[in-house]
Amino acid sequence: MFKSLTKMKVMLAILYMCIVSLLVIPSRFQVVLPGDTSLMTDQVYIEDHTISHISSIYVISYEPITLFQSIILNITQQGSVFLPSESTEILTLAEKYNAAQIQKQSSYIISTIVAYEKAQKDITYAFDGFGVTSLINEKRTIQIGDVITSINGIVLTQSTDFNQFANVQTLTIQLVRDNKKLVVTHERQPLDLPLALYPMFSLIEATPNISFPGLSSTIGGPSGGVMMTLAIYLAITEQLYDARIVGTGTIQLDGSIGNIGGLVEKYRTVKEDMDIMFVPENQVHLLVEYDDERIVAVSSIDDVIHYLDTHDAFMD
Amino acid sequence: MHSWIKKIIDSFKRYMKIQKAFTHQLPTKYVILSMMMSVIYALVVLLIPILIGVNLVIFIQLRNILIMYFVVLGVLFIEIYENMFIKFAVKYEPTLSKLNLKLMIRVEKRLLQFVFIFIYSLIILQLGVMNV
Repeated sequence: MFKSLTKMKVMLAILYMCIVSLLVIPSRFQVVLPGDTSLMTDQVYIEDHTISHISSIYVISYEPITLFQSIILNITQQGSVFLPSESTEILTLAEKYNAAQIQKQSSYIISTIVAYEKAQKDITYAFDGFGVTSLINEKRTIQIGDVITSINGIVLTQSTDFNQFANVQTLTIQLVRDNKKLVVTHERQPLDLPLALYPMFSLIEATPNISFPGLSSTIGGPSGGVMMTLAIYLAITEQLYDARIVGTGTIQLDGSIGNIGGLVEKYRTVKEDMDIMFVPENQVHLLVEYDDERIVAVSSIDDVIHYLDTHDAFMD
Repeated sequence: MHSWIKKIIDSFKRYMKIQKAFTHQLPTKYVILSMMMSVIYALVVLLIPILIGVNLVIFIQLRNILIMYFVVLGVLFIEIYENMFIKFAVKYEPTLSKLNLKLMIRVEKRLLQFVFIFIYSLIILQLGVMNV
C-alpha cells in the first residue's frame, strides 16, 4: 500500500514536470498570428483636415514559441508557424523592436511625400541616408538604427545602386549613430548576411502641417504605408470615406506598392469586419482560396485612388 | 449606529486582537519561514494554470478572457497562500491553534484579494490593455 502510494507520487511528479516542460521549453519556431486593425485617425494628424476612418492591419509575430504553443497552433490551425531566418535569429528583442520602428518611421515619411505630391500640395524634404534594420553579423560593427550616408566615399542618394558595392571587399562606411557621425570599416566575410536598408527622409516643411502621433505606438513595420498614404491623400483633398476600408502594403517613393508578410493572417484579422481590403497585386494569389470579392489587388497608390473614385458608394 | 456597521467594527476589533496575539506568539523566523513555504506551495499548485495562461497570451482574441483568468488565478493564489500560511504557522507553533484563526484568515484573505484586484485593475487601465 505504502509502496504503491510512493510510486503514484513519483509518477505524478514526473507528469507534472513533463507538463511544465511543455509549457516552458522553447521550440525553434516563430509564429505569425491574426492581430487587429490600427485606425489612421490615431496614427496621423493634419492641421484643419479630417482623417477618414480607414485602417491598416497588424499581425502578432512571436518567437520562440513553446512546445505547448506549437501543439495548440497545430490543432487550431491558427497562424503560420515557420523557422525564423538567420538574419532574424541573431537580433535581440530590442533590436527587432527598433528595426520595426525605423521601418515605420521611414514608411510614414514616404507616405507623406507621395500623398502630398499626388495632391499637389507644398512639401519640402531631405534625404538623410539609409536606415539599417538588420545585421551583417553578430559583431554589430553596423548596428540597427544606424543611418548610412556614404560608402567608400560615394555619397548615397535615394536612387543609389547598391550593386556597385557587390564585389568590394573592404567597405568604409560613414554613418550617423545616436546623432554622432562615425566611420566604420567592414571587411566582407563569406558568412555575411544581407543588410536591410530603408531610405530615411526628414520633412522640412509641409502645408498643411502634419504630425504623426502613431510614431509613439508600439506597433511597428512598414506594411501600413499604403493606407497611411491613402489616409493623408484623402484628408488633404477633402474627401471623407465612411466605409470600413482596410489594406496592407508598403509604399515606395514612386507610389508603387510592395509586398508584406503575414497577408493571410491579416485577412483573417479583418474578414468579419470590412467592406474593402486593398492588398499588393503580387501577393493576391495567397488569398485566392477565400474567393472574397471585397479583396482588391493594387500595384500602386494610383490604383487605390482610382478604385475609390469609381466606387462613390463608400463616400461619406 | 446601524447594527451591521457595529458588527463589522466588532469583527475588525476581534481580528486586530487575534492578529496581535498571533504575531506575539510566533517568532519572526517562523513567520518568514511560513510565508516562504506557503508562497512556494501556492506557486507549485498554480504553476501549470499560470503557464497555460502565459502561453495563450499570443492569441490576441483571448485577451479579455485572459485578463479575467489571471484575476481568478490571483484570487486563488491568495486563497491558497493564506490557508497554507496558517497551517505552517500552527505546525511551527502549536499553541496558535487556541486562537480563532478562521476569522483571521478570512479577514486577511479578503483584504489581500481586494488590494490585488485594485492594483491589477489600475495596471490594466494604465496600460490600456482593453483598448489595444
